[in-house]
Amino acid sequence: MEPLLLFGYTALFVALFGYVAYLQRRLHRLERRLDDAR
Amino acid sequence: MTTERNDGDERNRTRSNPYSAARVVGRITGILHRVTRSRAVKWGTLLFGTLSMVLVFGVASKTMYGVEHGGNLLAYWHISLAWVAATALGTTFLGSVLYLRYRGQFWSRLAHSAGELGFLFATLTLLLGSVWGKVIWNSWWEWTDVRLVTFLVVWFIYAGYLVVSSATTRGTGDRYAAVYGIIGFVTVPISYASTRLWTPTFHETTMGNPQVSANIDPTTLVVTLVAATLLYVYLLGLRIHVHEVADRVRRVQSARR
Repeated sequence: MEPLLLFGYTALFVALFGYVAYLQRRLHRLERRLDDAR
Repeated sequence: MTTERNDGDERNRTRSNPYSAARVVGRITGILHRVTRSRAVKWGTLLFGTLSMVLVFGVASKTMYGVEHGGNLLAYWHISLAWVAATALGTTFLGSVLYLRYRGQFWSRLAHSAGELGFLFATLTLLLGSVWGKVIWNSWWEWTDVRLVTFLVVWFIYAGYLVVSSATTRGTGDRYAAVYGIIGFVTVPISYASTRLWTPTFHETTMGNPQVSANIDPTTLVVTLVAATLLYVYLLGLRIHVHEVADRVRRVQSARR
């Protein structure tokens, strides 16, 4: 596989999965804070 | 007293008229909620995403514009990401208009969530486009190309949108962000039409141009477009949900004080 192709799709996957992981983590933290506040 | 009576009259009118604007908007909000959080969107994203990868790496031709290189396979996600970026920024525009008109918090959350996603997709479009450009133009960036420059302007405008919406307070700040979201959207159709408005140097007009020589496999492109759109809808639902829970936390904490 050409390095440019590998770099392009790796960057795409890292960015998308990273963003989903960031949102899920933030959501879990907020839900925990909501439970504590109640 | 008069205000209370007016409010009551408004409510009665809304209740009696099933096609009132408030009811229609309420129904649209409900549908959007259901669609963005449905399992069909989650599984559809996975299914079409996998199918897209199979087609890109197994079926699509590596030769584009007369250049044979594996890097040409980045074109399918580059085009699809540009499409979802434009859709997301269009959603920000619509959400901003509806927020200024109806003041529902849902529209503000929709506009901000779509703006954040639009910025992410625009960044990835620029990144993949730059790598693909290195393959077919032998250059990472061309300042003489109108599409590249106008798309970079779009990127900066939406970076500004995120700064405005994060730096301002709730309520008044949401209104500023909504106005910015409406005015900033002007750059999106300009970027799309730039290859028709000015003489293109590298990007050629593809839609309705019979002389286009890109050699893009239509099935792979359509499947990738569907995958990217479903991914956008899934991420939009998730981002709106984060906004809703954050607002709930804020409300509970302010009620306790």
